[in-house]
Amino acid sequence: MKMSGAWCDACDMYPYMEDIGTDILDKVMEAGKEFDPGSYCENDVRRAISAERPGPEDFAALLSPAAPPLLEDIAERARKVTRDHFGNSVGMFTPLYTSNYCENQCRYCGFSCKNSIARARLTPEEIEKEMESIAATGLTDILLLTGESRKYSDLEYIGMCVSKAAKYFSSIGIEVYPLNSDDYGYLHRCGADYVTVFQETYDPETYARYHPGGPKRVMSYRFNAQERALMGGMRGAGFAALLGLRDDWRKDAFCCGMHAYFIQRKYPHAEIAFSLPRLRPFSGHKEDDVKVSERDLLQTAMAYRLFMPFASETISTRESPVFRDGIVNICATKISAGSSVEIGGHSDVADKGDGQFELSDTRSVEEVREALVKLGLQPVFNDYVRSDR
Amino acid sequence: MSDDLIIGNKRFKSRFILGSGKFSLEMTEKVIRNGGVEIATLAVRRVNKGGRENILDYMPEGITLLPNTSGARNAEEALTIARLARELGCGDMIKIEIVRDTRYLLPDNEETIKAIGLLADDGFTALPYMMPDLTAARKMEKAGAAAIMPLAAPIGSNRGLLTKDFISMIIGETDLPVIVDAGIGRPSQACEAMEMGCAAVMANTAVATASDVGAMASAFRMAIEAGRTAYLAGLGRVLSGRGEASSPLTGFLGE
Amino acid sequence: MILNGEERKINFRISVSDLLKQENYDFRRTAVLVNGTVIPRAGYDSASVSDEDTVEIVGFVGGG
Repeated sequence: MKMSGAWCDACDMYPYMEDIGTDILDKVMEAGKEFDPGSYCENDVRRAISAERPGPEDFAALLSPAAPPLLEDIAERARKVTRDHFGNSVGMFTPLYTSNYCENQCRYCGFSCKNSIARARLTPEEIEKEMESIAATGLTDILLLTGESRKYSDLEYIGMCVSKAAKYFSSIGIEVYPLNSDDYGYLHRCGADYVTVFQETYDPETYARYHPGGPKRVMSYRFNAQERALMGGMRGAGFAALLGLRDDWRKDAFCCGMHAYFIQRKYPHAEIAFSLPRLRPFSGHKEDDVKVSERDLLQTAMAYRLFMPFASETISTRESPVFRDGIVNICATKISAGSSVEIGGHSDVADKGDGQFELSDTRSVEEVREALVKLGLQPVFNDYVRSDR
Repeated sequence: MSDDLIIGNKRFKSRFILGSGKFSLEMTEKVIRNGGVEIATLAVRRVNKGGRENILDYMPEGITLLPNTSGARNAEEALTIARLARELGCGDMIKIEIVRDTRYLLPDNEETIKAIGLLADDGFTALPYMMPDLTAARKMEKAGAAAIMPLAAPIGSNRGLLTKDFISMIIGETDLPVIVDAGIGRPSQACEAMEMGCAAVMANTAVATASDVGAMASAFRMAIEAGRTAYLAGLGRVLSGRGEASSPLTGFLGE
Repeated sequence: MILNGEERKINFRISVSDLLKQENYDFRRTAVLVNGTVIPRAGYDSASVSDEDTVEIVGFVGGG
């Protein structure tokens, strides 16, 4: 069924994009419009902290400017809620970038087709080597990424990566360009269980400004990816707003939480995950454009935690070791380690392709594991055992 | 702005639903008046001797009748009883009550889910009486229920909100009005149910077995109003005694 | 014929209306099942019962 309606700019150019006829986008946009960060006071935040089951209004209060003076109180509560739901386990994983060819022109991303970077795609043999290398560190949870290129990283290529990963890893997530539900079904049968798609921003104007070219222009197709993934049989879905794109990051954080909330209401069996990307320096990008502080990022993470206590939260290597250790002690439940965002960075496969962003935390798997233990946390490599292979 | 109870396409001012069993016919009218009741349940039974001395004669004008399917042991029987009730002229609202357990009188959620489908397809506004279970409640909502009626405690036990936490989950996770039924023994328990966010409370035994039945009906009315008002007013925060962290959790923030 | 669980002998077919009148029922307060099927009020004249049938005549009572 061809797409139509609002948020659908340029979808005529991409007739393959499936329209699942869902109303969740409208609901999130509606909620986002009504969210007025300035209308909350300290009492609202206190009520949210002690609410037994925080709802959207509490979530909004926790994201508002009234919350920062109470950050330590929120942190206490967030840590308790995290312990209640996750014990003191923190999952470890690593991302594997298999191809950086990309048709999009996202203004904040190193892979933009406008950037002249070394482009590469791993061959099946190279993928095997990378995976062996990663598996040797003890990790059993992997996240596979590609740029958006139906020529270089088409569905079959991704399927091949997933099938190989299934030999080495018990939990496979993919963070690739949005696909149709059938495609997700195919990748699920190959062995993937989790799909993450960063919405980047929930504001249509900002979205259009930062994504001027390529299939990523179509905001609604990207937005509905998680639902299509669940329809295709995936076990869980990951959400994220790239804080710093939109003028008011609070609104994007709110919309992201509401997006996850409506999906969880509709698909109660789905595992929900949040990622916490923040606009960070990359080559050619001015430092003072970055408007989101570590404090803001922590506030967002804790608000997600109280609003959806059962959702996992991943902190990436975009952030410093000090920040990562701090947040994992409060509410983050998944952490990457031994990361490389280049193509071919894990093994002795020569660095073929340039990376997506700069790493701030370059610690190895073993170093991160030790840091977690020192914090009194339990690093978990493996939450799942595959029964179907 | 009105705070009407909305069930299906009907609106009500009162959130006190009366179960009409266990009352003498003469008391029924007094209880309904004192309780400000707008919805009363009825059962469908064999009537002998011409059907004289009928409870309908004791129901005031304007009361909405809510027949239940008590006696039904499965979904098909519930549909038959619902159709009979409709012929008796009560409108389309039916409380589905499918009980296959004669010891505790607990409802059968599985048959109830099926019954909702059958009744909804036949144009009924179905209100299922159920054992509080979030998964079952979701299925009932999907099947077309117009409300969820979880039991607070076994029928007639007067044990109050035994299933409080599970009712709370259903309130939080479904969009339907949640009407607590069975087991409410005191007005304070009815008040607590309303404070939690229930849309209405149903009571029968607690009123019928009071020393002064009429006064107890008034007490329930006031308690239910109090609970609802408190819920809308926004209950205050609980001040928790928190443990002292040796150093602040947010101390690592550099900026 | 079995009426509300009791055996009855009737010698010829009668309409549901006539049966109700015969048993002194108030039409407005009753609903009728013949062999498990609900008979709508509008059909009381046209529907009939014979000696082979099982009939239930029901009405509202206090309950719930």
